Amino acid sequence: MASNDGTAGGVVAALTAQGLQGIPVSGQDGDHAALNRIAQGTQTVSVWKDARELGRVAGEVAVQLAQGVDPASIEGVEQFTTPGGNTVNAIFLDPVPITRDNLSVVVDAGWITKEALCQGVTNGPAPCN
Amino acid sequence: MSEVTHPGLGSRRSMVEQLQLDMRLLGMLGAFALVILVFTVATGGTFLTPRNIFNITIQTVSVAIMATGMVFVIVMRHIDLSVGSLLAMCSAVMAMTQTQWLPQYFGLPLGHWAIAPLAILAGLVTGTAIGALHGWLAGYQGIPSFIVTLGGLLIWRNVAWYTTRGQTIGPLDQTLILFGGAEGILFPTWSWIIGIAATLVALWAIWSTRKRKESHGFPVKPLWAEAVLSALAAGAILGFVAILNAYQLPPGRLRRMFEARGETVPEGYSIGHGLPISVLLLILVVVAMTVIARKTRFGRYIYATGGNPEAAALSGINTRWLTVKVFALMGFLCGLSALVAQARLQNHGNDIGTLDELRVIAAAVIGGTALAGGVGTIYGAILGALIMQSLQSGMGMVGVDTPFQNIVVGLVLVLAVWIDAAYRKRLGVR
Repeated sequence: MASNDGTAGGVVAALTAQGLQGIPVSGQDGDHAALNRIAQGTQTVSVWKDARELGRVAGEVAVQLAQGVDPASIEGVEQFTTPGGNTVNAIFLDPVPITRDNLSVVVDAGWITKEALCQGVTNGPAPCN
Repeated sequence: MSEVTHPGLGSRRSMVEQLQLDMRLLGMLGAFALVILVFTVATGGTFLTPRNIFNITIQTVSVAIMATGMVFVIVMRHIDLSVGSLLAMCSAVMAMTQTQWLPQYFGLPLGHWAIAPLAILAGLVTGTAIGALHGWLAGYQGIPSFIVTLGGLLIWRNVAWYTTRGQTIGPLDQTLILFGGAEGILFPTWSWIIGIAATLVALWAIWSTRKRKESHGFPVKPLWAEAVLSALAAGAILGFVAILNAYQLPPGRLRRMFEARGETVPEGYSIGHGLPISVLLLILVVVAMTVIARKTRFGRYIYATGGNPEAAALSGINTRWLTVKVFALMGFLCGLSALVAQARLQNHGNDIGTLDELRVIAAAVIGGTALAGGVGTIYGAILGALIMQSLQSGMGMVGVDTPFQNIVVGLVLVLAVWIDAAYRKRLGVR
């Protein structure tokens, strides 16, 4: 379990040196290199949080707050209790776990081109087949 | 084995000075042996397994290559704080050249044989050019190299960031990955051939040095001392090769290797790693840099200028142009290190080479390079890099927390220079 895709890449390189590539490795960020590793089968999963969606929602909320809209009444706002026991207003976006079974999601969303995703992959999972 | 640190004074070197240099090397070897001993005991022997020695070796290469260049820079009374960032810059250029620029703008398909050499060339040219620019600013424009390269530290890492848009670039060219260490190995037969050739060259070097000294009427060591030295050199080279050959390929990797050729692994088949290509590259760099330092006019000028810049300039050495050349050489070596670093990680990451400037300077300084200038050896810097990497790797194996690892490395750096300073003072030399 690597804290991000960069670390996961180092783990995969070290595993490859021991001939152990293919054992489960998880990353996070949806790096292009990591998505390519998933297509190749050397990384199991990466967690993709679409930065464009994050930016869009943050922008919309900022505009509403500037217009004086009550934070609790903004569309999609839920109450979230932090580990410290405070209750805050929050909007949750769904992080998407990307595995070999749903690689098409990142291509369809325009996050990565099919060529970059499938570089060096033969007979891989969809859309690399 | 005497070391020329004051060119022109060779014939009048005193016994004390000769003793001092040997003692310094002995001190470094002693410290290295102590580090190895402590971690071998602390890990119950795991530290000295062929596998760990192989790993430490390939982890050291990138910093060690740059440390050889840093010796020249520091000997010239300059400093280069930008090497980590310059490595990132060269790595970014290499990564972008091979994965995007060549395929997109020059129509070379991915996997084409020319991609690796062109990408490496692009990285080396980038490093040399930026190094030369630093040298020009420091040498001709009189900006302190500390400031030039402090600016470079910020600039080049972020030019690299902008070039790759902060993304991890990969997968890299399959030929290029061979320079990373574990992926590019020479296997036992070739390793032995190279090891034996290296031994012969080392023995020839020791004896030809003796012959030349005799022919000029210089004092030489007693014959038995030369013999012991030769035996030690041969033992070290061949022992090193034997250890790397003893590290057998893991079964999983062996299976994949045979599967790639459409075969199955024969019953009971096993083969050692041997020398990694990256280590061979480092050895070539060390030999080349040592020859430059001791045998060429370029090298003598560097030590002469470091020893006394005014005297060197007055005696007709173009110290400004020399500064450009030394920094360009440093940049070239950063490019070479970038190749090894990105190939080892099999990707170009945005944080590649972070804090390498400190490791490189520490390796050179622990290896006996004096910040006052004029003094420093290539083999010392390599030993310094090895000591640092062994410390780091060993503490990782024992399970020392990361903050303590960095604290210990910092302490060792200060301690090494302290001992060295006290030692010089006692001997009454600079």
